Order: sequence, then structure tokens, then C-alpha cells
Amino acid sequence: MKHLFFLFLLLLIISGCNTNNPQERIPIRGEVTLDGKPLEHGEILFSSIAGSTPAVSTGSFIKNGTFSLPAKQGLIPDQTYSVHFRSIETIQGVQEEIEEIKNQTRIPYKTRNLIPPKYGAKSTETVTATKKSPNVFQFNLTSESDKLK
Amino acid sequence: MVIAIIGVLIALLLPAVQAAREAARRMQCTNNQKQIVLAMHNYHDVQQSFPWGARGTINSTWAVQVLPFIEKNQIFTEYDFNVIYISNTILQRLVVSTYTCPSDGNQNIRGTATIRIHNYVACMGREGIYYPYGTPRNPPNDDRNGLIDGVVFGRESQYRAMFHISSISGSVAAYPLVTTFADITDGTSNTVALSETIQGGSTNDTRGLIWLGTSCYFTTNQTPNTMVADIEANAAAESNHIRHPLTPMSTSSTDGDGYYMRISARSWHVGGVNAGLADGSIRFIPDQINLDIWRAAGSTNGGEIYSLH
Repeated sequence: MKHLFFLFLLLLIISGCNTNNPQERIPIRGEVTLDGKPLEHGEILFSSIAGSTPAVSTGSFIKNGTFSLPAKQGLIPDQTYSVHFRSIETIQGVQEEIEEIKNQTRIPYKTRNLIPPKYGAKSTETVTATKKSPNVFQFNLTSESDKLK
Repeated sequence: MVIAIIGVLIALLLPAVQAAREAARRMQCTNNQKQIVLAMHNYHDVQQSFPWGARGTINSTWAVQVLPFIEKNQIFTEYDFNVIYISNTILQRLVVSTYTCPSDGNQNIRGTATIRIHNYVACMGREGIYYPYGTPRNPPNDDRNGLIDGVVFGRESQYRAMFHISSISGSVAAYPLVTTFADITDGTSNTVALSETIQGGSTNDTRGLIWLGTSCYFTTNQTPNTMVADIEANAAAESNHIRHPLTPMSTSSTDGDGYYMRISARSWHVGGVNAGLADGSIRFIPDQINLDIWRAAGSTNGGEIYSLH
């Protein structure tokens, strides 16, 4: 009976030994506004700046101006990330689904990005998460001086 | 006392049995991918190149080209290359088990659509995909279209992919649409040819619709099963937020002259995806793979120093 217990204990100990030790990542959250109002919906993306090891790219949806990344999808502490935004809205949609669109040049939905390029590919926003700070970030975006519209 | 211990042991055993079932499904998935990559090799033997990724919305994707080499010649011969895939009645309700991952519980169904969806997708490089409406040209150097993470979108990049896409109208750019073994200068053991995606399931979500150019591919721009949303063409923006939280999906902007798309490798296997390399071997790629290595594996000619081994 006694060694059954030891066997059980051994099982408890060795189970879960299989996980490799991933890089420590920390959760972050924050708020995003566009022209002073909370960004209704969109996406935020964090990517390691060139040369960082290991390279990480992570992100989440923005809903009602807020976003949060759990630890599993979080940032590696003391690494600098560039931050990119995206918010697509439908400006014209057709009710038919794509299966019914036999004309190959027809675009079923017209959508546009609300976020100007200076916060997209050309974004200069960066963040660095640290172990001590609360890691709550505020991004105030403005759509002015957008020459593309 | 003894019963209590037996009870505990059984409690330990039962989840393990379920894990064994999933392991079996993953093995079946590996086998399917092996068949497809070998079929691509056989295609190369006959045609002197790998199949194209997609040639417009007409003219089929790699999934159709490979059919004769996975013993589905009867479907291939009945496929009409002059019309869009939707008009091909042979595809209606067609489920190709070799193209289906058994771990995906979606049963190949996409909303009310009659065309079934599958799982395996071809690698179109380490960036995003630029898919112009008209004649192929360089992607505009701005990001109205949601170039969200600073990567170059396809085509004009220094990195070549194993599979390519033409423009929507089917016209082909100056570069060749197909790749040969000789083009894979990174080495076939360091280049990913095939991986899997999850079946979208809803009408607005075309992931897994491998007969369609805009969803027959994946890129290694993001790690497997990433929380960064896939960017699909042809979806209403409002559908962004109704997706399963583990399989985020977003839509491309049409505010330019083409779609900018990016679909990442995803699966329902625990902790990663299966991926077929160009040399015919199949590897399980964990979600935590170093992004640099994963991106290096997506290009055929990058000369990156990383290796999947």
C-alpha cells in the first residue's frame, strides 16, 4: 500500500514535466482614442523592433477604446515594441454572399481603414513593458494631416 | 482506501486516453500533409515546376492542380478552368478527406454555402499578400489598406515564396508564377510548403475555402495560432468581432487597388500546427517557435541563417 502512494506521488511530480520553458511574458492593457473619442473597434499590433531576440509579434482587438493582452500573449519585459493600429469599417456592403458573386471583378464589400498611415506601417509609436510598472498604456491618435483622404 | 487510489488512478488515466485520441488525429493530419507534399513532388516531376498558388479567381488554385496526384483525377478532369470555382458543380458538397484535418470538428461546412471547406493551405511567403484587382503592379507605398505591421506585402519583397498568387483578373506579373526545386536556394529542408488553417465555418469567414485564391494560402508572418487576427478579403468589417476568440479574423480594406491579406497557420492540435516542408518531411511547429525562424522558413531565397532543425 505504501509504495502505491509513492507511485502516486511520483506520478504527481513527473506529470507536467514536459513543458518547455517559454520566455517570460507580461500582460498589458490600455486605451486607444481616435480624435479624442474611444476607438470603437480595431486592432492593435505589437512587433519587436528589428534586431530584438527573440522576435515577437502579438496583438489583440480593440473594443470600445480598450485592449488587453493576457500574459500568454503579452510582451517580453524590457524589450521595445513598435505599435501599429488598424480599424476597418464597412462603407458599402451588399447582402449577397460571395458565392453569388460570379463576376470576378466585383467587390462584395467596400471597406476603409479609419487609422491614418502614421499609426499603421509608418507608426513611430513604441512601448516598453517592465516588470514593475502596471503596464497600462494610453494611445491618443489623431486623424488630422491625413493627406490620403 | 484501495478503491480511492484506484479512483485517483482512473481519473489520471481517462484524460490521457482522450489525449491519445488527439495524438492519433494529429498523426492522421501528418499523413494527409505528407500525401499532399508528395503529390506536389510528383506534380513537379510531370510539369517541371510546383503548382501555382492561385491564378486569379478563375483558373483554380494549387488544390485543384494537385488533385490528379492524390488519386482524384475524376474531379480534375471534370473541373472547368474557364469559370470561377463556384460555377464548378463538381465542387458542390465535395469533401476531399486528404485535404481535411481530422482534429477540426467543423465538418467542412461553411454557413449555407454549398462549397465545402478544408484545412491544408500552401505557403505564400513570410509577409502578407497583396492581391490587386487589375494588372499586377507594385503595391502602393502607403498603408491605407491596413499594412499593419511594417512588413512588405508580397510581390516586391526581396523574399520569394514557394507559392504565388496572380492578380484577381488572372493576369500574371513579370515574375514567374511557379517555383521549381532550383528556386529553393534556402534548401528544401528549410522551407515550408504546406501547413493548416482552421475552418472558418461562418459564411463571412472564408478560411479553409482552398478552391478560392484569397484563402488557399497561409504566410509565416505571424507564429502559429497567433492572437493577431487573420486579414481576409471579401468580408464585412462587422464580422470581425463575432469570431471564436481563439481564431481571430479581420477584413482587408478595399480602399485602394487591391486586397492586403494575411492568414496565419492555425490548427486545433494542442500547442502548434503541422507543417510540410518542401523536402517532403512533416514537422510539428510549436506555437512558441521563434518568429525569426518561422519567417525564415516561409521564404525560399532569403538566405537566413536560421534552420528549423
